[in-house]
Amino acid sequence: MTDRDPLLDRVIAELKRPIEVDPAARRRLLDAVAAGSRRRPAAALLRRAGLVGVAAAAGIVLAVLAWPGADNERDVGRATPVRFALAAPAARDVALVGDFNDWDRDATPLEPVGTGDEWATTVWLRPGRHAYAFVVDGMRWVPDPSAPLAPDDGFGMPTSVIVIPENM
Amino acid sequence: MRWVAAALCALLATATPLHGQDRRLDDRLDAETRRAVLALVDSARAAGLPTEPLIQKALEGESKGATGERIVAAVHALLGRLREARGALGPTAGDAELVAGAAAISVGVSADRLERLRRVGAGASLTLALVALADLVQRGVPPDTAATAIEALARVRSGEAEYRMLRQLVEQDIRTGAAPAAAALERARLITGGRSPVIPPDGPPGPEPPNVGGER
Amino acid sequence: MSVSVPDAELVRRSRDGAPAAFEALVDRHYPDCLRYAFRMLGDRAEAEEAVQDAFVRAHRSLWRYREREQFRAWLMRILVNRCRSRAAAARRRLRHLEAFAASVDRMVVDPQPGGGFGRAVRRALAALPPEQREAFLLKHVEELSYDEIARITGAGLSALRMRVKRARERLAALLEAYRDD
Repeated sequence: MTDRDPLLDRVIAELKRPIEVDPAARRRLLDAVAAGSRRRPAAALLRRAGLVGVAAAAGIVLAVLAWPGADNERDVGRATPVRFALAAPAARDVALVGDFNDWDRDATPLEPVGTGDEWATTVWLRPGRHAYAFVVDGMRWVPDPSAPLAPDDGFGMPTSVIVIPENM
Repeated sequence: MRWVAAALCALLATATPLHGQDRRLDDRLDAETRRAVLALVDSARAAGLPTEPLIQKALEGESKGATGERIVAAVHALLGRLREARGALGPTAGDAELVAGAAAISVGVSADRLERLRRVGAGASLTLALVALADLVQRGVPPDTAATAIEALARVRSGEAEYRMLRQLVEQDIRTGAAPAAAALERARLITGGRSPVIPPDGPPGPEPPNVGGER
Repeated sequence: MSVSVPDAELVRRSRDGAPAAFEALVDRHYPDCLRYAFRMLGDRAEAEEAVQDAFVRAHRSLWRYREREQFRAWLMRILVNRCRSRAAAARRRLRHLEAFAASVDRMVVDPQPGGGFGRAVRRALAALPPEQREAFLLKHVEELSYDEIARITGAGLSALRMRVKRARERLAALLEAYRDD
C-alpha cells in the first residue's frame, strides 16, 4: 500500500476526473427534495432518451397471466392473455400499440394501477411474433427495455417484440 | 342446401380478413400509398407469402406518422426480405418464422446463416432464435458472430429464458465496456455450459471477426 | 451560496426551513456524489437517481445529522447505501443469472488497447467485486480516511485495508497492458 505505482496513480487520476453535472438532473433533484419524494428509477433513462418532460419510467413488467376464462368477446381460440405494464408516474395517458391492434393508439389504453405510478392492461395474443410499443401522452413511443428490439424499418421509432409460443 | 350455406359461410369467413384489410388501409392511408401497398400485398399473395405482416407494416408506419413514400418503401423492403427468408427457411416455415427471419435479414444476417440456424435448431423455436438474433445485432454484435452465439443456444433447444438471459447478459457486458462480439460469444458459451460448441463462423470471414476474450 | 459558509451552518439553516441553504449543500457535494455513484454503478442514469435518492433522504433526515461528523461523510454514507440498494435491485432483476455473475470478471479482464485508457479503467473497475470497488473508490478517489470509510460501510478497518489492497492489485493486473503507454 505504501508503494506508489505510477499505473495506479494514472488510474486514480482517471477516476477522479469530474463527471459533468447535467443541470436538468440537478433541477430534478431539487424538485424531488422540495416534493419530499423521490422519482422512479428509470425516469432519468427516459429523459435521457429525449423524452423531455416525461417523468414516466420504463420499468416494464410483462407477465403471462393464468388463463382467466373467456370473460370477454375476444377470440380466445388459441390466444393467451398477456399483461403489459408500464411504470409511468407522470403520464397523462398510456396506450399499447402493436400488430395485434392494427397499431391503433386508441384501441388499447392502459389503466392506472394502485397509486397511479403503474399503468397496465391485458391483451389476448395469438401464438407468433408480435411487434409492439407503448405510446405515452399520445406522442412518445417507448419500447419495452426488457424485451428484444425489432429492427427499425425507417420509421424511426422504437419497437419491441414478444413471441407467444404455440404450446402456451 | 345446407351444404351450400355452409360453403358460402366458409367462403365469407375466408374472405373477411381480406375485406377487413382493405378497409383498414382505406381508413388510414392516402389513395396513392394504399394502391402501392395493395399491389405489394397482391405480389405477396401470388408468391404464397403472408400478407398480414405487410398490412401491419403499413399501419405501423401510418401510426408512427411516416410519409406515404416511406411506408411503401418499408412494405416493399419487407416483401423482399420475406421472399429471402422463405428461400432460406424453406416452404414449411410459418408466418412468424418468416417475419422473424425477415427482421434478421434486415439487420444484416445472411440467408446462409438463417438456413444454418434452421438446420441447427430443428425442433426448437426458430422464431425465438431469430428474434434473439436480430436483437443481438441491433445491440452491436456483428451479424455472423450473433448468428454463431444464437446457433449455440439453438443447438441445445434453448427456450425463452435462455435467450432472455443471453440478451440481458450481453447488454450488461456492453454497458460495462465489453466488446459486443466477445460478450455474445462468451455468454453463449456460459449459458450452454459447454454442451454446445460456440464455433466462430466458418467459410469466408465476416465483416468483423469476432473478438474472443483472451482466456481461450 | 458562499463557499465560506461551513456545511454545518448550511445544515442548520436548512433545518430552519431555508431551501437555499440545502441547495447550496447540493451544489457543493453533488459533483463528488455523482462521480462516486457513476464509478460505482457504471451507468449515468442510475447514478443520477442514486444521488437524487441520497439527497432526498438526507434532507428528510437532517434532524439526525450530528455536527461532530463531517456532512460529506454523513451524506456519503447515505449515498453508499443507495448505491448498494440499486446494485442489489439490479442483481435481483437478474437473479436467475447469478450463476453467471462470476464470469463478469473474465469478460472484463481482456483489455482493449484500441479502446482508450478511460474505457479500460471503467472495464477494470467493473470487474472488481462490489465491496472492493466501493472501498477503493472511497479511499483513493473520494479520499476518505479508513476511519470514515469504516463508519460509512460498517466494515472493520483491517477488512477495508485488505479490500483496498486487493482492488489495487487487481486493477494493476487488469491494466498491465497500459503500463508503458
